[in-house]
Amino acid sequence: MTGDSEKHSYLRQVDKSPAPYFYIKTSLEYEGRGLETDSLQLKHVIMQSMTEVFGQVGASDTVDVLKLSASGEALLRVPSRSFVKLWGALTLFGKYNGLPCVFRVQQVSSSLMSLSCNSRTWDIPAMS
Amino acid sequence: MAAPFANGAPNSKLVFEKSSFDDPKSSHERVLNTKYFTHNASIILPYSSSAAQLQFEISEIQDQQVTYLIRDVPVHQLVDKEFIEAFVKKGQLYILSQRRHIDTHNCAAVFPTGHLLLHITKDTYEQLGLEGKPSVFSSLKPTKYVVDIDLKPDSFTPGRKGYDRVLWCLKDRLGLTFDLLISWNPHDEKICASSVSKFFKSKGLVVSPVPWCVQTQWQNKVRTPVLDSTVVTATEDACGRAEAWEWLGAMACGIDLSESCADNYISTLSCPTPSGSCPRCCVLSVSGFFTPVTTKWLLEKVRNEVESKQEKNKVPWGSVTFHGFQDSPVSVGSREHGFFQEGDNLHSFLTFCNKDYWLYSAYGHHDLCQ
Repeated sequence: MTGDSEKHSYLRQVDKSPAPYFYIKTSLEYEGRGLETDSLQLKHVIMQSMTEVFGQVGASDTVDVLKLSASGEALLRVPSRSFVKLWGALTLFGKYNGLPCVFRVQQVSSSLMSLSCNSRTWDIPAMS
Repeated sequence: MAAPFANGAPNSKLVFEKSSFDDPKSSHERVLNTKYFTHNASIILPYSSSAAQLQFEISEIQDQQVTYLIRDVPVHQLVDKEFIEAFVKKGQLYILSQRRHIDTHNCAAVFPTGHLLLHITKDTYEQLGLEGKPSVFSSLKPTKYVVDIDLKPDSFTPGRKGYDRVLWCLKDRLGLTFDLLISWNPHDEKICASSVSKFFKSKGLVVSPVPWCVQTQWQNKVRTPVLDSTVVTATEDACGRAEAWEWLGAMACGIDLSESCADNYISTLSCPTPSGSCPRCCVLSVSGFFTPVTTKWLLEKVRNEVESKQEKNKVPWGSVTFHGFQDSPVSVGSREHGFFQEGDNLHSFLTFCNKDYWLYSAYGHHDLCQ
């Protein structure tokens, strides 16, 4: 009796509260110079954008640069409590070292798995 | 005094289920059968041998279903009696509008249950003249409406009031057109699934097959979390479900965890502990328009890889994730789905060699969670 129920023990857990982290897919573009950046510089730019808008206390949460691909797309991880602040700071950021630049946020999600594909940018060869 | 800064992060939903494929009440078949539209499948298989190869040919996926893209289809074509009799009633029909954003545009879908769903803006709804309901995610002033038309009843036929009204509204009142992705599984095996493309070609429409696209990456010497199907909360001996979920996401996104550690300046994401060394790990991603026929085939292939007894290709566990379309009007079954900052609707199976599985179902803020 117990053996059978343990063998097929069913468990269901539902998380409806905000997830611990949010993930953002974004790219940093400079005017006229494209996507020139590296992970270290990108991290510095992101922390600078947070400091500019929210000050040192507002920028105290950790923002992780998980990946920077050759195409310039970066994956960021941020605690949920700072997700809106980071998105706001990225949107308002417009100049680095005197050069006009812009963060383009392509996709956000509470699960990292979701950022592995984006059906909105699916380019069907038959359509193009 | 400064006002507190609102958190503002949208409420995501993650449903975790632990069950066994042997359990007669297991819900994996039901979930896959009612997940009508899948855009991408990500497969992660950590092998214990450095010479391991996939035991199945991913190219066989093309034998499972055929998909077509039909451009500028007038929506009244979908209520054509000839079309209903030949395809809706004689097979499982999957249709989804393409390149339309569910939060701002008109969208359309047909399910194998024989329902045509129009997810339309307020302006279109007011011109259309058919009865619908405001989207459940609307605020006080709805901007999107849902019109559900059942195509299967025998009474839905020319000459009857209801049919004539629907046809008139769709054809004469409103010239709605969509680019449609379409796939059809006939009940009768003697009928070819490509008949549906011939039907639309005969109506003078442009029909083209939709190819699938596969990307395979083999990674060597990867740290993988130690998992036990009975342990869902992290212990000293095994990682929990949350850690496994993030690690799977990192692998699917191609994030390199080999050099990261908890006090790294750039990224503090690291492989969860306890972890083991995996000589060869396969990360495979296949994109297209997939129906339950294909998703079930893929899950079976991944299960075979994990449950096979071959020493050479031993896999302690494997994962397959099915990403739904972000702009699909439903996520699972007839549950309404929307887009708010994100439009997640994905199902991820983590299968173990003892036939247990963990199922992660992740939904965005605009989704009716079960």
